[in-house]
Amino acid sequence: MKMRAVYFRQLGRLSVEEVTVPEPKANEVQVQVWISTLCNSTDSEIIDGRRPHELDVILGHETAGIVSKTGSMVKAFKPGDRVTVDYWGSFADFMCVPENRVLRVPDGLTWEEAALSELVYKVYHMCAGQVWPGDTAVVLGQGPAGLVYTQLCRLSGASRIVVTDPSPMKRALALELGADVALDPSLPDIGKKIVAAAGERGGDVVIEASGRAAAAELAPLVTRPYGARIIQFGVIAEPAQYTFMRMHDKGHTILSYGSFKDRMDHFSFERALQLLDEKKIDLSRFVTHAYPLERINDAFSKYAEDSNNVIKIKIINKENGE
Amino acid sequence: MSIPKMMKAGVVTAAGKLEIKEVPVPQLWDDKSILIKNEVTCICNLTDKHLMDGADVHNGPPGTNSSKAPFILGHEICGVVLQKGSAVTTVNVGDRVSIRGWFASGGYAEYVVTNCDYLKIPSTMSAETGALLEMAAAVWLMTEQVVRLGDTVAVLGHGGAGNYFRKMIKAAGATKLIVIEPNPEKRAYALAHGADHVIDPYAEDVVRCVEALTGGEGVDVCIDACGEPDTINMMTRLPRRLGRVGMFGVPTEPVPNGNFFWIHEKALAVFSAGFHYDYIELAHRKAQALVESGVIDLSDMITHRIKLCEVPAMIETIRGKKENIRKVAIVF
Repeated sequence: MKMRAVYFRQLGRLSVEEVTVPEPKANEVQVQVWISTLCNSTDSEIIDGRRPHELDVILGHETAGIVSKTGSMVKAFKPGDRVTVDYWGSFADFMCVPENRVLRVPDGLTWEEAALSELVYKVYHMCAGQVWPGDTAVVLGQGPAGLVYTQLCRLSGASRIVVTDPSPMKRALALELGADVALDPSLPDIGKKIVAAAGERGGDVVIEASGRAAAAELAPLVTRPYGARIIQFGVIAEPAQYTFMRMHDKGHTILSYGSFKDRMDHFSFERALQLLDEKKIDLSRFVTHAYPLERINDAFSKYAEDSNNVIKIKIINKENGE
Repeated sequence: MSIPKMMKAGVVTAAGKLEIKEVPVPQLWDDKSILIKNEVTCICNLTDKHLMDGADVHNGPPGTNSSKAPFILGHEICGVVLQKGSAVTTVNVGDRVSIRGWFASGGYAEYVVTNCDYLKIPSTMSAETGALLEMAAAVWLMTEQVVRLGDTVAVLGHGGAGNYFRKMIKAAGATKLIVIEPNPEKRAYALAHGADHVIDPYAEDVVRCVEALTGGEGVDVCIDACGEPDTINMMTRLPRRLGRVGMFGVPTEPVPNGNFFWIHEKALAVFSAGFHYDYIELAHRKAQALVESGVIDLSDMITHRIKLCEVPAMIETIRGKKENIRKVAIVF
């Protein structure tokens, strides 16, 4: 049986090909992909070469689908189960995933929520235990990750949430989803403006969620003194002009979300699905654009050209998918 | 003991300029102050240089900045109490005190006033050791955050801070200590005193060497004990995945090519030595206890003993980075 698969074979452009559907190994689940979402930073930076990555692989790691076949040793899943995965290779009609990296999706979740649960999981993993009641939180960047952080900070009891994003649309959404102040990072003296908005002390926790060097450089300037936490969620592919001295004299700690290639945090993924099932996190306005799988290059171009108006782009595999 | 009106002091008169001058002996600031006859001040090889050059260093509460010239340099101080204010209860006249002198009147001077951050030490403890406790406290603060029993540890640099770290890391129960240091004399000293491996960063590929010494994984912890712009990126390259980084030495200027990729790729936690300000008091007492109990021996730390008038020349020697210096004691 044949399927469509999108390969990363050269920099700059993905290749849509027809290949044989992969058969699951004994411990694997074969998933028919219904929907994927583009990871704005990781996928884009791999394709344009800013982040080194091996060639001849299928990208895509935010997805949901239905189990179509199971390997002989798989016990927890059966064909027909609606699932999401922590695994790469979702820009295709089918993918085979080790059983221990598959999670069942609660019935109450939309397909979009099911696909985006992977993002909520990664954000939750690097937020849990770092935001405390009464904290002033600064979230740099209000893309999908930043908008989830804003909501998780609110859920964790932050008293004040100051966010930045160049897009007026994203700033407006951030205010609706829990931010108290949303600032344009291109304003002059943005560091001082953030500190002023944070109540002159600076952030107890500062979350870098944009993946831009400029935001990473800003983070140590907007923390409060003594023991603040910087959560470095964004992956900075470019050199950052970093003021380590401020980190030293203010005594804060940088914590990374960390690449998940060879590990998985089941607890955080299940917690993310739970939070979505309980409607504690609102993703309803995240997907701003939709493309069919064949037009995936157009989808990436759309993000590159119009990032201020794109939050998430979904890739639809099934014709009757949402 | 009669207290003179004037004293000699090492004064930063402008950015980059240190002069030995005759200045008034400081008087008690308030009822919480003490005046000491200084016995020993140690030079902080990195920060004293930074402060002298007018760098933006403020190791204290917000808004404090000890680098506005003119000021008397020196914050690693030990001396005997001559006078005390009426509200001082923890020390008496005649006691020997170790001072973390960030807010004192300045340690490169015959007399020092402060109203905070001093610790009474036993009269049996030497003044040199008392002066060495300030940095020992900072090194304890860092070690306590990042080093755990059984760790493999890489330390960048084996100058003053690096030597303290070697002692503290071994005491903390590390199983393997790798020292990265360009100066052959300093490498030999590290190897003879507890380091398991040494690497010359100019002759060898440090990342490959550390990987080879750790079964391809990287170390549990990497501590940057030099604070040069070209080492700051190395500190995130050497740890294993989910490892820890201790940033002890820090460049004062923004580093133009800060590499954040490895922080993500290895899911690292980067700790600063920094000024958890309430905590450093505890660190000072811990440092004293470590020395008194014999867990840490600081008796070899001071390699150079000089007079106050020799300080400007010594600072230039430190800048030259050629001489094998651990700590310099200014003996009064």
